[in-house]
Amino acid sequence: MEYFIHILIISGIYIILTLSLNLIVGYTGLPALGHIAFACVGAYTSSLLAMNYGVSPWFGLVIGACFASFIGLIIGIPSMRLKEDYLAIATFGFGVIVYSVSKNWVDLTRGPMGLPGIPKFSVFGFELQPVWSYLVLVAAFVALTGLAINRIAHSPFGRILRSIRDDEIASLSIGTNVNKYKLIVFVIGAFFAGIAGSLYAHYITFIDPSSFTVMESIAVLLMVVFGGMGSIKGSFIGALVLMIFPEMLRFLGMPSSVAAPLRQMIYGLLLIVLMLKRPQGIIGEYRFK
Amino acid sequence: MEILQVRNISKSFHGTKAVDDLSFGVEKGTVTALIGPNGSGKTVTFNLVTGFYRPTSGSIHFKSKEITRIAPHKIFNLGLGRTFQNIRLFPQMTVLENVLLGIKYDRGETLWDALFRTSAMLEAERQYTARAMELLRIVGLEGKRDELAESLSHGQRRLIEFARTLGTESECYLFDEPTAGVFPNTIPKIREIIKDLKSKGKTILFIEHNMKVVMDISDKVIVLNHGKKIAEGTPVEIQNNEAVLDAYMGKRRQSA
Repeated sequence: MEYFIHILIISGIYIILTLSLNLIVGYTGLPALGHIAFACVGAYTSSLLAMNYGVSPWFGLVIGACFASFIGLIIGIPSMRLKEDYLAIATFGFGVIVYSVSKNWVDLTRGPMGLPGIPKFSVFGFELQPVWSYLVLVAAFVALTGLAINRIAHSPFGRILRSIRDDEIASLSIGTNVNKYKLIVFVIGAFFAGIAGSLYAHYITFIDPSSFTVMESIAVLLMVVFGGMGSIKGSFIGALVLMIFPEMLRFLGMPSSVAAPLRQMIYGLLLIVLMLKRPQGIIGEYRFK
Repeated sequence: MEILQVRNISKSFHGTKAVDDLSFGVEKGTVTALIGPNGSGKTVTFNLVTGFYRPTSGSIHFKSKEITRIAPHKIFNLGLGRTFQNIRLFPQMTVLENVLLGIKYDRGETLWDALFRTSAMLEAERQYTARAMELLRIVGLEGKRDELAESLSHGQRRLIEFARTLGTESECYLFDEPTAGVFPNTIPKIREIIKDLKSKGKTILFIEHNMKVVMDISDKVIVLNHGKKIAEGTPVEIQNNEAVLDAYMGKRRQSA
């Protein structure tokens, strides 16, 4: 049971990542490949604040998210001038840079050894220990993120974002300051990814750079595409299916030497079939051009 | 008063001069047609005026303000709206959304409004949806409001682009081949829309190949060939202009 709840909590964290990336990729049409880097910034910021300065994880979470946004702004200003493939490569590069910093700035991050013993969240001086309490906590943040992204998507503001996705030149011709909107979206996405990272750190109580590789960014992107770009429900489904499905394959009862690669293969196969049969994702509406 | 002034602009693409030392002015409240054979630089001129291209040399003034090197969205905000030769809609959005995007929101459009669902946003949305429906009725497509723009026919998409541009309430409109590829029955409708804009004191500059439309609605015609202006005048003057006939028909006529 505890194992099941654990999977749900991790899935919840991925839902937050998927929702926020969906705003960038699915609603605004910006191919971003470095989303996990913002989670990394959020996770390390709040962990280091808690461990070195005794800052409460609650504040750490907010500061981490804001710092991730700030990094998003710094990275966004130059890279939002790039389009399509070039933007994808730039954000990919950003993901690699953040990973490298977390791995090599040993004095600060302890490098590949990671940060053990990160404090857990506490309420009125009591540390949150039971697993279910984290399920509640993560669920609350998932709800908050879902609400925010949903409101953004279904508003005049969100309509402008989708117009940029559909035809940037037409959007310019009706007066949209395209770069400004792209930057805002990038910063919002970074903010929620920072929250996800911070939740992860204070739940697992251990982080190391290997949790934040570029492959993780790709995995989140897959969840967005799998569930459906430009769909809130799709982000929930994409993250849940792609997190829970591989776990279920564990129970097939095969020797682990076969099971692990087989899981990867089934996972890959599933994605190929989906892209052939439903390129807009399970319940998405938008198809990449 | 000339609301739009183009002064000696040139634009080269890899050494080829698409627009060559072109100058003209557009009087406020008039309809001006820009005509010329294919490849004579008409659309390039539009893109230069609206900021999508930057001229190699020369300057462009709108309402006595220089707009030569200003970003397209800023030029739009000065009051210059446009349509495109190859129709640019937002294909995966509904017809209504396409038209709403053209309408200038004076409130309720910020991130803050979105996150807190402010009353300003809800109110603006109601008001502007009504306005968008009005525009859809003008082009006769109110029945298509919830269909995706990509599902419409070419002519319908042309009309939606029109409706979207009308919603911007610009002072000056640039229409790039408004009747191209449109069902013949639709042409009078487009002609009426342009005439109606003129009667409201708007300024129109348009590119057109349909000479009937050009002769019917324009006050002035500017003729381009190889990026240069070869003639300028009233429709009647242009009809009888030797240089224009040469450009369109070739020189053979003279020897006949």
